[in-house]
Amino acid sequence: MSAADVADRVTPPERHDILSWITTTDHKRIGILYMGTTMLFMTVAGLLAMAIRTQLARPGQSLIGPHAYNQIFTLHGTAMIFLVIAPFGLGLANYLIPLQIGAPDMAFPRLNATSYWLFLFGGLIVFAGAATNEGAAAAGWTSYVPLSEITVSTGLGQDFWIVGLALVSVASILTSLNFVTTAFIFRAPGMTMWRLPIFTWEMIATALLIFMAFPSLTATLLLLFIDRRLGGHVFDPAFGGSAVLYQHLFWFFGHPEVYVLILPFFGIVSEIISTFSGRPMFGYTGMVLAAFAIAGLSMGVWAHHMFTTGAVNNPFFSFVSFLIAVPTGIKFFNWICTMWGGAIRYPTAMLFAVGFLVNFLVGGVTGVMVASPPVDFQAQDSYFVVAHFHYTIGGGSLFALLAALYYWWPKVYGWMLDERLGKIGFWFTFVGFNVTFMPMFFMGLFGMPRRAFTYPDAGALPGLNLTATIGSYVMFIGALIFVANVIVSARKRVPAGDNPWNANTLEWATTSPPPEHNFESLPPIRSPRPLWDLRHPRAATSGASEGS
Amino acid sequence: MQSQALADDWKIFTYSALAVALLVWALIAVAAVRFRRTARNAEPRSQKENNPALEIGWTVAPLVFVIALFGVTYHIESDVERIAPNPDVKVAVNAYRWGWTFSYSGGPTVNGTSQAPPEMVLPIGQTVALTLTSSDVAHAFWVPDMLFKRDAIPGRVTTFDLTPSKTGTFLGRCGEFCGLDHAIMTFRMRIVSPADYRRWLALEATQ
Amino acid sequence: MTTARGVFIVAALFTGVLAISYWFIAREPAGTMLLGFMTAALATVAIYMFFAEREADLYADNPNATMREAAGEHVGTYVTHSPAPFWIGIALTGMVLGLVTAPAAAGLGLIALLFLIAVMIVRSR
Repeated sequence: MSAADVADRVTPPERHDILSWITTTDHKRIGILYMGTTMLFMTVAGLLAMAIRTQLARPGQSLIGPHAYNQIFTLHGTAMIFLVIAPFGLGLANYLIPLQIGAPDMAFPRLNATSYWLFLFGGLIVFAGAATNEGAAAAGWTSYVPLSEITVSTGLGQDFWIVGLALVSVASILTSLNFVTTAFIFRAPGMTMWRLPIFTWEMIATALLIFMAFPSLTATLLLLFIDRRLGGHVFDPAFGGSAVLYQHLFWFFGHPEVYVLILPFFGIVSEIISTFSGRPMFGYTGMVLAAFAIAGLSMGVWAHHMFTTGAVNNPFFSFVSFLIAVPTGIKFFNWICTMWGGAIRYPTAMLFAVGFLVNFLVGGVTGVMVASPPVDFQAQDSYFVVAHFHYTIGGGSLFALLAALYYWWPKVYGWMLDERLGKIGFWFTFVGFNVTFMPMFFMGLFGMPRRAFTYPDAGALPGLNLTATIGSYVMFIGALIFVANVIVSARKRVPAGDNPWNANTLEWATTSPPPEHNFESLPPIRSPRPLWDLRHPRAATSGASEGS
Repeated sequence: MQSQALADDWKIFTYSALAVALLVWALIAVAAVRFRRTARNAEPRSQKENNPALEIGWTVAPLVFVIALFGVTYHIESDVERIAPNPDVKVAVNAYRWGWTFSYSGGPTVNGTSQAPPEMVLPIGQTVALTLTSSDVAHAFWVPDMLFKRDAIPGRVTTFDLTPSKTGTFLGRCGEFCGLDHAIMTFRMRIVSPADYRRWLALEATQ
Repeated sequence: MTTARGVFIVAALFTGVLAISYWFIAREPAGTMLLGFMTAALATVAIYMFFAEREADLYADNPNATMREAAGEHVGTYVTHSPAPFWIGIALTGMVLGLVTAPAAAGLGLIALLFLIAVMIVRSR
């Protein structure tokens, strides 16, 4: 009995009705569901950002009062972090990991689907808080106590935020279990660990981070709920609880979370730069080790968010925070050396990848700045920090997200996105992004606090804010151009073929879109670039070490 | 807490960040432009993917650099966090939603809200010990012109000191999100000569 | 399997060192406990993989394996659809919303969840 006989007997033809999408356990469909849902959440969170920037265009405006404003930035931050950037990485990984390792699906398909529905419903619950009596949660995405305690944040919106995020947290942990198991056990013959694509490696590190950090979030949410609704006083200083304890528990999760927000995108950029330079990923082993160094070190830096409390050992956290710059730098040099000596093509995906390098560098070096407590004493809770993390998550993750859309869209849907519109959209996004966020470093230095619905009409602040708002509108146009691109390209449906980019990893060895079971046949796997080896059969494979 | 030390730290780190950024941007620019695929550069020059000396180099050099930066930070922070054993002036600060209360030890109590911000008057050149707390949620005592903030957390009393070195009136504000009036919960810090300070104390005593 | 084992063993050792040095440098109980729990979680997996996976022999880890060697082995059928995930999502949603608004709904959600899991287990036999 051959595999083909088995396949014909047990695999029904692929269905396309709505019910088949609601009951799907196919990792590709779940990936599309994840990424599509994040696009919808990103639209809402992006509009909330436009509201913020419009209110802050001039000092003393009252377009949006403080109560609404506080809900808006809370939802913006919560959504962008928990419902857009992180799940996009997880969704893309859902789609790609089995394809990149040569497997037919994830290790636990039903668990995979459960994670998606928990993510969707959790996110909807968070936003549903806006419909309650006192509105949505309004204590910031960090929800510090005592501000988020029941005595201060009296409305149901905060509770909706807590339980919604609890579902999202559980979903992420379940997904991470799936990723690690799949990557360890379900690789195709010859796909040793050291032949895995860099994206898959980054996802293994991400999954490990989720496994280590998200239980703390779940516990913190539970404790906050107990304080609010079940008579607890864990965080209430009036009853002997500790407000600082909340910060420890939250940031123990919160800092690894930001590496969950960037590692998948490091992987995306690695794949794209390598493909379009026509060269292998430089320093493959170093890239893998650096990913795990970043993940490991990131577990030991959480209280650098607490430098101004006077309650933590600043030097310990400052030192470890400085150390993280080293593996991050290793990655940067490896990306540059991958491009060096190549013959680089510049489709839209590569433009966004280089934009990532340019932008994330700013985020990285300003991160080293705020790792120094004396700098942080001014920068903490000011627009300096806002600029820093928008450069890493926006200039970094978001740009890599857009690069990923342009790069893998043809594989997912079988047709290409328009390149000309893509490039125009890139420039609007790149220029708009930098005009929005570069002034914010100065706004922070000059004393503008974050989470502030207005600011005084004095000094440089009005001009800087107006500049940032103008930049945000330019970015908005860039977003509209992307939407237009999807609509226009959907009409034209230029066929993509199996491998429109001449790329080298296994997902390009099957049709676009792939069949339900992913591969009709697999090429031999003797290096991290199986398709390159197919095209260059006599070239000595200078692949990474071939151990397992 | 010395603003000069804080300003020095800012300078060192800003220049370091700029230097690194410019260097890496230059490398990115050269790589991105020089190795574009053109008619003359149609194929990659090589598929070489390792250079152990380079890789070790760019691990060790940044490591040394950040350890040096940490050394600088540690030295400056120790300086900034030092608390004088016998301060000349002691003020207890209480932050609340939404205002500030300044209680001078052996002196007046000044209170003000976001509608009518309070003023903390201090003498130039003398050590001031500030103790911070909050009576409701977390706030932070932030004077941007002095490059310094410290959190005011309920259930904790935090101490820091400062020796003002410039006369003038400096804006202070809350630096930890605390709800509706967070953005307008301001105060002023007015640094005067010791003689003017004594005069102010005497004036406050009669009220 | 060596690399996969190595990932967890090195991670557990690293976080152990981090936890111990954090305690001696900062003497802060909350962070130390969190690092300690994290070490315990990683060590649990690492110890399991160290002992139980010694004999695992995946075609994937053989650098010269061919598809032909592994083909023809019927390793199981793949689930392509299942209504359970969606309904588990609904049940958990009902449960948490019930916690917040109406405790009775929480109980209903919990019962629905347990029922679904039982159905899933029975049907997969």
